[in-house]
Amino acid sequence: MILLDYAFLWKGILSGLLISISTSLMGVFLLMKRLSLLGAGLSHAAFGGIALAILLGIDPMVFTLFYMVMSGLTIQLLIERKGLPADTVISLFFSLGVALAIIILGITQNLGSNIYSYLFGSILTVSDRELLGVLLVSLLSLVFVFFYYRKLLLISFNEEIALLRGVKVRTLNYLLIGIASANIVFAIKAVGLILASSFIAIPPMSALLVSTSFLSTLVLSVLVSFLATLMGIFLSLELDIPPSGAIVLCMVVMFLFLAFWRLLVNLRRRFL
Amino acid sequence: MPSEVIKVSNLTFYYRQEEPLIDNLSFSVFEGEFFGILGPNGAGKTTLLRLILGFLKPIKGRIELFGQDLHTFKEWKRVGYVPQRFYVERAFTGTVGELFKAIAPKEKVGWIIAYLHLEDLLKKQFNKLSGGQQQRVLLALALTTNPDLLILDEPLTGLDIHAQEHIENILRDISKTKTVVVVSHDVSFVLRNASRILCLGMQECQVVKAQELKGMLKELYKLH
Repeated sequence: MILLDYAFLWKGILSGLLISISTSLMGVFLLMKRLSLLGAGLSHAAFGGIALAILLGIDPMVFTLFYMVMSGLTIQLLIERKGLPADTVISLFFSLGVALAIIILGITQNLGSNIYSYLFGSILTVSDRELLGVLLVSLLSLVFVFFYYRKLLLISFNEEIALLRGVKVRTLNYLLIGIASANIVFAIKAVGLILASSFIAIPPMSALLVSTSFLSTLVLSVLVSFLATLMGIFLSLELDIPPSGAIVLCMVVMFLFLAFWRLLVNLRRRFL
Repeated sequence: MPSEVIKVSNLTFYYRQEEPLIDNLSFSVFEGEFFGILGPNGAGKTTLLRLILGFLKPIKGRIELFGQDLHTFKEWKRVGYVPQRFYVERAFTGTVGELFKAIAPKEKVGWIIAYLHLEDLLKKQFNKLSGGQQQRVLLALALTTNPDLLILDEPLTGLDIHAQEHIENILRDISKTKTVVVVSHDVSFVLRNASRILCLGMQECQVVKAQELKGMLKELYKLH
């Protein structure tokens, strides 16, 4: 653990933990709105954005942030205005991003090594600027959920009831998708675009298995994500394995543990 | 003459132009009335409610609530809405208590929790309640602002006989002080309670008195 004396490691750990908190929080609302696929769709859509940014020599983080938030808002616009099914719209952006990346990779020679870090993540090489970005996005997510908690709860229950009670459902939906999209950008830095959707999907799904209220779903989701990220990073340092894989594996193990726990509780209720 | 709570004039709506779901429909609902909307599946009952509540925009025609045009209507606290319970998000994990906290301050919802005997359900998750309990909670949520008009979409669907009776008794009680509009495909429930009924999905949509509809149905029964 002598490695922990290095400042870069602490930056990586801090950014990983921050993003684990905010993505798992956003993920709960996306799950209840049946938009969990947004994580997978947008992270793959980002592939095209990242390749385009590298090709054009633009800062990938800034460009991808812009590209992702715009993609997220367009997805919401198409779902809301055109009544298209969410999974169809998301897969359209998924395909567009990957197709764009494949073409750019095909016509350029030396993008391979750059793209590699985005595909599989590089949490331990977080720059000061990226750490600041994670901090801002995480803070924004927490403030958003804190101030609009009750309204988001009503929207998660039934949008029509929320509308009649004066909740600005459309505005909050756009804000939710926009902030979630920004979170996914930094999840890509942590675990790569292939695994980024795990942050949005697995912790809320795990929480859903054992939660007894809306608040406990949020708390458990954050807890699962936080612990898995912490354990994943330490496992990767101890065993010298890639942190992205280790983090997501820890999330899956925690999900399976909670699923087993729920099964035991249900069996006990039924037979004892 | 009681005042008009809902006034629908020459309303037309369609999802596809070649198949108008609601075509040049006009009717009024008066203060204190128990008004039923009947029709088979796909007749446009829920769509009509969604138009009245402003969730959908009419292609043609005009809707007024409490004498004000729907475009400028702001007094939504006067309107309570109970959606079909199947429209609630299945993954929602919130408790009944959390829902009440989200919708109104505690002092404003105390009476309705007591009125519908929901005290024991407050700590339970909404999606783990029985159909009848869910319907009571949805009704209570709609009543939190003490509205003058209560609109319900298929309130008895999927409930067992006891739950149906319980909800029907509550609605009968509520209708003594409020205007109630109920959409249902359950003919006997609407005939038992409504004073006037709008029949959708027939060649000509029309409002009839419940007694007249009962007579028409009896005649039809004799013929067959």
